[in-house]
Amino acid sequence: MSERIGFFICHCGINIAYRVRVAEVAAYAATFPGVAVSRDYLFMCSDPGQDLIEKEVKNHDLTRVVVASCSPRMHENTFRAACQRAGLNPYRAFHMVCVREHGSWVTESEDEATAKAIAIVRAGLMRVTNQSALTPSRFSVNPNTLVVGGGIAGMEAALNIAKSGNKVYLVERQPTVGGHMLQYDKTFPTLDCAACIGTPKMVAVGQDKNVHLMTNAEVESVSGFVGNFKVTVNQHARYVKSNCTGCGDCAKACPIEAPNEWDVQTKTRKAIYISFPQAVPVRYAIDKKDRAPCVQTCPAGINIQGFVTLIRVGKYREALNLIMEKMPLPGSLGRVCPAPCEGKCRRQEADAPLLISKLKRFAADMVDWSTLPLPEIEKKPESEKVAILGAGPAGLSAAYFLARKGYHPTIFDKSPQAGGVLRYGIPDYRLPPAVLDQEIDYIKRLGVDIQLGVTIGRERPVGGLFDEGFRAVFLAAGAPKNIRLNIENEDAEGVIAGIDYLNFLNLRMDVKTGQKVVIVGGGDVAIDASREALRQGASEVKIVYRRSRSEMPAVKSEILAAEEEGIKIELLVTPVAVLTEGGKVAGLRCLRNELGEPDQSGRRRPVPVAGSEFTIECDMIIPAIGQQVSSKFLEGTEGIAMTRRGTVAADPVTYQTSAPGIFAGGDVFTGPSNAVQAVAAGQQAAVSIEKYLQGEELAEKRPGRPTGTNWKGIPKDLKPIARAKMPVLPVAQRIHNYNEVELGLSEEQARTEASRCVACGSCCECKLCVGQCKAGAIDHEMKDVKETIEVGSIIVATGFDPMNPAKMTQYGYGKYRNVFTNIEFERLSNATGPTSGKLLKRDMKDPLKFTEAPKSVAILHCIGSRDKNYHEYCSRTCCMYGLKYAHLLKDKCGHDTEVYNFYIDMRCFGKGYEEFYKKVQSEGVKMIRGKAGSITEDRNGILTVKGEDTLSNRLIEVKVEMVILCTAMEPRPDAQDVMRKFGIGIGQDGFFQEEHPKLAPVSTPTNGIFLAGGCQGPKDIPDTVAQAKGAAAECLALSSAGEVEIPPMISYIDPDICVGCQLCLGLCAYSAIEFNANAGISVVNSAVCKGCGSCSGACPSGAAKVRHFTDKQIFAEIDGLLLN
Amino acid sequence: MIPNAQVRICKGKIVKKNNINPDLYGEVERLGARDMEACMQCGNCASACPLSTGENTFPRKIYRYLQLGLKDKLLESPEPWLCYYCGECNIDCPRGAEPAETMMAARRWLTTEYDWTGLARRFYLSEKWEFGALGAVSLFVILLFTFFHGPVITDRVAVNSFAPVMWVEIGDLTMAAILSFFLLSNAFRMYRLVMNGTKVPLHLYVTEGRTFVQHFLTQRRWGQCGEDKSRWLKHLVLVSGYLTMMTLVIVFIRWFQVDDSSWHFSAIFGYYATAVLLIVTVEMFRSRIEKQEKIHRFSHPSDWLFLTLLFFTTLTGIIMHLVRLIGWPMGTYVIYVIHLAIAVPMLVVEVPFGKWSHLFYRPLAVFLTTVKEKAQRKSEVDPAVLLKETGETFQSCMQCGACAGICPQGEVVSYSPRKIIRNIAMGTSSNVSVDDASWTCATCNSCVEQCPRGIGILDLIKSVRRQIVDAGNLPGYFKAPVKSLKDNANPWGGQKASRLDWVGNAKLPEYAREHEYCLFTCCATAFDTSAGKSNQTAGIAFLRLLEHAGVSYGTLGNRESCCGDMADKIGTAGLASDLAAKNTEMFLEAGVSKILTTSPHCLNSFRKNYEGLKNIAAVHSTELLDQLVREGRIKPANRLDLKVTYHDPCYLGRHLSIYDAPRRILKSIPGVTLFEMQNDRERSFCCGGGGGGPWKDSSGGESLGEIRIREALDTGAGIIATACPYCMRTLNESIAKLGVANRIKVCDVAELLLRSVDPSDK
Repeated sequence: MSERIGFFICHCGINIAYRVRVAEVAAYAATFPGVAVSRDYLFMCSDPGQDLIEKEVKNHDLTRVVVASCSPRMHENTFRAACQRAGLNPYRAFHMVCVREHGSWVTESEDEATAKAIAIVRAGLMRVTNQSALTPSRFSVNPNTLVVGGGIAGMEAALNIAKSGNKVYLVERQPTVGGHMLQYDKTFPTLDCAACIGTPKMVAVGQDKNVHLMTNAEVESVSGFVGNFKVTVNQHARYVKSNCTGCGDCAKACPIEAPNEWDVQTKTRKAIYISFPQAVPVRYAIDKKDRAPCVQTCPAGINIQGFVTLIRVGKYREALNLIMEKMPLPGSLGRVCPAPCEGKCRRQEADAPLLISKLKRFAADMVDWSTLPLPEIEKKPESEKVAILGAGPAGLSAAYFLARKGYHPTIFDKSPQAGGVLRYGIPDYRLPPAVLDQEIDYIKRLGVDIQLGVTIGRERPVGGLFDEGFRAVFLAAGAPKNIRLNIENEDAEGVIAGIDYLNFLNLRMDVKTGQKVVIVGGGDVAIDASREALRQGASEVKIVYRRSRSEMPAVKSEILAAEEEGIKIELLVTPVAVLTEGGKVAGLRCLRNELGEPDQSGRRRPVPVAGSEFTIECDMIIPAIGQQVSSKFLEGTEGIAMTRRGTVAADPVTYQTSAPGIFAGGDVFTGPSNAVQAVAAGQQAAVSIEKYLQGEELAEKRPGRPTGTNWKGIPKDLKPIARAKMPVLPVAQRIHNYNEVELGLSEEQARTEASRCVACGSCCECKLCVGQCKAGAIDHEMKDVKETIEVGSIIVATGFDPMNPAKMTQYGYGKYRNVFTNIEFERLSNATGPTSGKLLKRDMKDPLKFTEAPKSVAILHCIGSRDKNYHEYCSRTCCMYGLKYAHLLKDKCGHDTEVYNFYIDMRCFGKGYEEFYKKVQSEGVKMIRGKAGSITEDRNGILTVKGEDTLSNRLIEVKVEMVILCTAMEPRPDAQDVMRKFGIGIGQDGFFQEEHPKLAPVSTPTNGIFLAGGCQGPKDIPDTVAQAKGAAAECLALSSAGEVEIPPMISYIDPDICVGCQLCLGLCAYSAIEFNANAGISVVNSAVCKGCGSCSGACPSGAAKVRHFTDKQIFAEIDGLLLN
Repeated sequence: MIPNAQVRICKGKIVKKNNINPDLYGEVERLGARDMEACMQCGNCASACPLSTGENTFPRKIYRYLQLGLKDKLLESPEPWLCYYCGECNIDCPRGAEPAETMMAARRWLTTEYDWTGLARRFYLSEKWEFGALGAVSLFVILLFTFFHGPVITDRVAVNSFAPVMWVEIGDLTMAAILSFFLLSNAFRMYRLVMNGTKVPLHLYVTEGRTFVQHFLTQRRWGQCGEDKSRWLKHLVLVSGYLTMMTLVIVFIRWFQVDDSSWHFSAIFGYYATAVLLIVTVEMFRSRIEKQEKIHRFSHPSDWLFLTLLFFTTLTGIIMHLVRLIGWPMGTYVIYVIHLAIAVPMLVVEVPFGKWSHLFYRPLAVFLTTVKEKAQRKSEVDPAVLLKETGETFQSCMQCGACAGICPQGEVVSYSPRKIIRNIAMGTSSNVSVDDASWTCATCNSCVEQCPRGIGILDLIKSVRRQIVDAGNLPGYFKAPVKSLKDNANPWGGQKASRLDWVGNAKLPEYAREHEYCLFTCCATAFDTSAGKSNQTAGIAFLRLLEHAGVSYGTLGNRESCCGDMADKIGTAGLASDLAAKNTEMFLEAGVSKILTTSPHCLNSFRKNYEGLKNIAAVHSTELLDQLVREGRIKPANRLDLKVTYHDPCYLGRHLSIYDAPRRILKSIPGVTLFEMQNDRERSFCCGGGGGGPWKDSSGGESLGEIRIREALDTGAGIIATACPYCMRTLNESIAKLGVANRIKVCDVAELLLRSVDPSDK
């Protein structure tokens, strides 16, 4: 059957007919091949117009219908329905041509308009015969709704939907609902208090059984389509469980203070906090950032921020307990730790890092160890025995942690006393033996058996220990062997290795120390040996080191202390031979070096300078260039692999050696390192041993090391405080004895030093709160939880942000104390704010202190709004709240307070707004018509605001005590993310784009997702609430309809052609295409596809097509346009 | 299309009517103005400007004038000359406009407007004209030398023979005189425009003279413009070079133009000036090309031309000097002519008509602005007193300007109640902006009726005047009436004893308690004998009607004092309350129950200002006559065949809402056709007689009364009826001034009624 086309053109009153000669177009169409009837009509969209189409279809037995009228956005559905009523498949039969928006409205003359209309009509007539029948698909609608954002818009929308009996998920990022409105004090123009009208809504969303409130939560991803969305919500760890009663005892105990976001930094809150007293839910939350860099850096993982904070608040025993959770030797390591943590301390961004290691020592020194209570330990059976070789830091640490777990460790050491290198390698003036003793005693009290004078080796091999009943062995024998210089006469009398020298002295053995002593090396042993030699009576002590000072591995403070004591350091010197005289040392021949290229260690390699030989006269030489592992203890034991460096090979995470049940850690594994590394190794080995004994996988479920860099910001105006200086014995009083050189920090020093901590992690996990909580609601181990919810519709009500005006430097915000933003002023005025509702000036020195009421105030409108440099739009609310502030100032600070409003235009457009304007003016508020251009501050903090009063053509300078900047409302910084997540659009101004500014103000291009409130554009509370109710109505309309019709003009991928390149997957903005791996082709999910055509345009094989926009149809249309 | 500005001169001031000139922006745009459409008048530019001060704010104001086409305002603005283009204004401009460039364009435009010859406009707008003029002058110079040069000596350089220095000097001076004439005459026009009738004590011009000289020589103001002082220094150096050269050429030409290489100390100055001119012009070229400084981002052709001419003048000067030193006679003469053929047209075209004219306009603008500022004094008005006296409503003024829009005075003078309120509210009042301005008001109450915020503007004006009077600054023209009020209880200078003389032989019985009405005579009826005693005629007509109708009435005659309306309105509050007290006592003593008066002013006072007369009714003559006619006690019988229009007196109408009674009376007269004027009833156009009107200076210009008469004439009426002695007087005066006595006459309503009742009184 040949096609019979009906053509209908609309006059649209005169909208079309005033330019397009409609009758002429109709006459032209009538001549077109296949056109059976061609009609024009005044209003084709009217009922008679539609009847006309239906009648003509029947009269002329039409198969196709082309209507030329307005944009298809307006009436395509109208005419489709008419065609359907006439018994045609509307997608096959009907095509609409736009001769209004594309024709009459955009052309200049009648001739042009008519010609264009004819051309596009022709294109339509050509196209229509190529259309195929399509049928829309239908899906059921989930009646539940997700509301994103718990501000007034979100709450209002949620309550409206809840009223219908459907379920609402209300997701709010902050710990409380309320949003900006609840931060405000009064609301214009009625001046009712925001809390009075806002808290009932908050309470309602908290209590309504149909509202599932999720605070501290964020939407992670959205999939699905209208009526059938799947949303993943990330419930951030709050660290406080729902049985919290909101009593606030925890916050009283919390030692960490942070700026209160709710009060826009005008006052502080604790790390465990509630935003404001009426918060919903009334449930505290812990502000926990990533663990501080010091904690992340400490090899032992000590909660440094925690114990430092506890020291600051004077809780020394708690501080010590916190340290001892990770490290059993706080007093010893507090003295000798090289403190890698200090290098990462963020305080140095402001001035200098904290003196962390000495604070640790302070905590240990402040406690009486003999009465230190033991933790409650659940003892394991006696058979759970572990043997540990070596009573050095690694061995002690492993024993300590095992004992705390209830195991029964036994330490074997060949020395007469425990402590290993801490006792025998470190001189007493650095680490008095008593300190070590008390810590070892404590470890013993925990139940650790230390057997001294025992040699494990050939006689009593490691392997045999298992036969003795030990179920695991930890090798922590250290690296006690010195490395030789390998130079001439190295074994002459008067040459003694540094490690031996220290060892002998610590064993109280008689060692003859020369008068002129040369120490070779730049490490801690070299420094210790040099200072020992001095104390042993040497008159001249010199250190030679082959690289430069910056490469010296010794602790810097020790190098300085040595030099203070008169020890000379010769840098860039390499010894080449020991000179002897009668078999005894007489001197050291050396070469001078210069620094060459960096070597593997990253340090610049010393390169000898030819002919630079010289001799240092001396009678004793102490080489201290390094140590190595002695493998004697492994004699008689098979199956333990060694590395090429001579250390025991073990897994770097589990410390498991190649022999099951045998673990190794400390210097024996790493080679010579420092004590804190050894303690860390002991700690980790204990974990492994426990797992081994429990039969668990060693590498799994180990406590991970904290990472991340999301730390609390460092305040810009942080006052510098000098880093504590460790008091030391004067040189004269120390070089002839073994009194401890470093005297320890005084209590005042320590607490001041601790107060310098910038609390990188916010919550310091000191857990003081846990002890205070009667409900037992606090759980520091809580983790983020992801939850998937299914909803049929979504309301995005994510709100806005007030602009930070600091970038508008002419107003000095952030620089001048008494220049406030609107939100700051709201908080000042609010009863729960920093001043309990009094409007006071800020103290010039302390931004958190407020002094007296201002006598004069300037309120500057349009800050960042209506400004090409910031936001071109008007923020719509500033005029009114500017007036409100003026009124509040007059009301609260007295009627004689001078108030100036600098405005560009007053936009008081709402109900009661103009009346409010008049009322405020009558109160004597000065309205200056002109944007203030600049603010300057004098020495007394008086602010001069300069602006032109354009109404009197006069430049006005007013001196005021306070300025309030009415800042722009701007889109949230993460609006782009939200846009992508929900598949909605963003307008030029950065706010979410509604589908139509007048007819679809709450809809988005994605069906089923609606907008409400400030996220769509600046608006005040009444408008926000109205919009929220509108969005709720849209959602309810969807759910009461029960099902949705998805237009059939969507993409499909021809499975026969698709080659599976998957190019389309990345292009699809709606994630509507999935790859079918089995078939090797891409498949369109017809429910999600919007028919945008991205895939079809890009598909290299031509497999992706859009139904109703096929090549045939489009080419036919183009042919029509180009005909003639 | 909005009609072009009509500019009228009134009282020595330019008065603008409908002063929108839609072509203005286009004109200035062609000279480089930018972004008029962008500006939203926020004023940020003005507050960013380091030079914008007090009332001389810019650039916003200039944008405003351009946006609206307020040509007259732009003409009287000195501000473009006060701007030195640092460009600070565009940094924070919320609309991203280029105000400084527009200021530059405004200067160009003003230059074309100051120039009465119209040449500047042609030069600025047409390159043909500009180059044509330069070429013509150049050609003239060349021809002059071609035909009138001296002997050409070729064996040595002898410029003074080729161009005898005496003649050159004469030429120099002649040119200087002509150029000065044009420049000064243009500057005089600028002076007239900028001052625009502002009254400034003469001594200020003398004492501030140094300002002119100082700014002329140092351009000190530029030193305060922006952060970068180098622009100013560069310019200062250039000026020094230019002035030095001018002085050498005009005053010291005898020593400057020499043949030999003999040395004269002036040579040092010559070298200095030459070096400066060369270096600075090259430097200015460089920065214009590189566009690094804001001022140089946009260059108008005139900027380039100016520099080019200056550069080539200097260059040819140097070449000429060198060639002379080398001793090449012919070369010297040719270069000499070329030098002059560039220098002379440059001076002739640029100094009075081009960019160079700024050397006079800028210091003049600074001078005039300073003089104007110095002439201003602080206002006598204390906002606190005002607040106490008039309440807080005036604070709620939203500056809509409806008051100024409706004020009849706006038709004849520049007057805006809005501005007065603004200045008081902002605490920026001056003697000119508030004190002097307040006397313009005729208290017609139009603004009060119109005010959307219901502000008692009239009370405000009264309070302002009261404060001025209290400060001892009662305007001179009110001294006589005030003295008369004190001495004789009337403002007209009449004797109290002769208060009833106007009655003549008509009947006016003495008031007795049995009388229903006590007739109170307005002082104007009693003593104002202007316009052929029209007020007396009207008064007697009323008496006749009372008699005719048999109304029971009497008068208290000589015991009456002025009602005090005028004293109240001109701010002599004490006097007004004294008068009120006297009259109140008189009425109460006499036991009066109803007061009858012919004057709306008296009626308004009795009804509103006399606290003591709360229980005594006051009735206007038209109200009574209307009642009598309606009751049939007066029967208008005679046909008059008159075309009449009725003028609502402000005090009867807007102040007391009596609109219908007089109209009913007129309509009751057979044969009277009543025509309404364009402005009737609530919109009645004030005759200007209220608030002390008759005593105010009325020299020059059109008066409100004249406008009203014209309106009346437009109706085609031959009679303008009214019901107020003040209106009678003012309208009669205006008829006389307009010379239309043959076409229209003023009559009191009572007169017309009487004619209809009693033909013998025709």
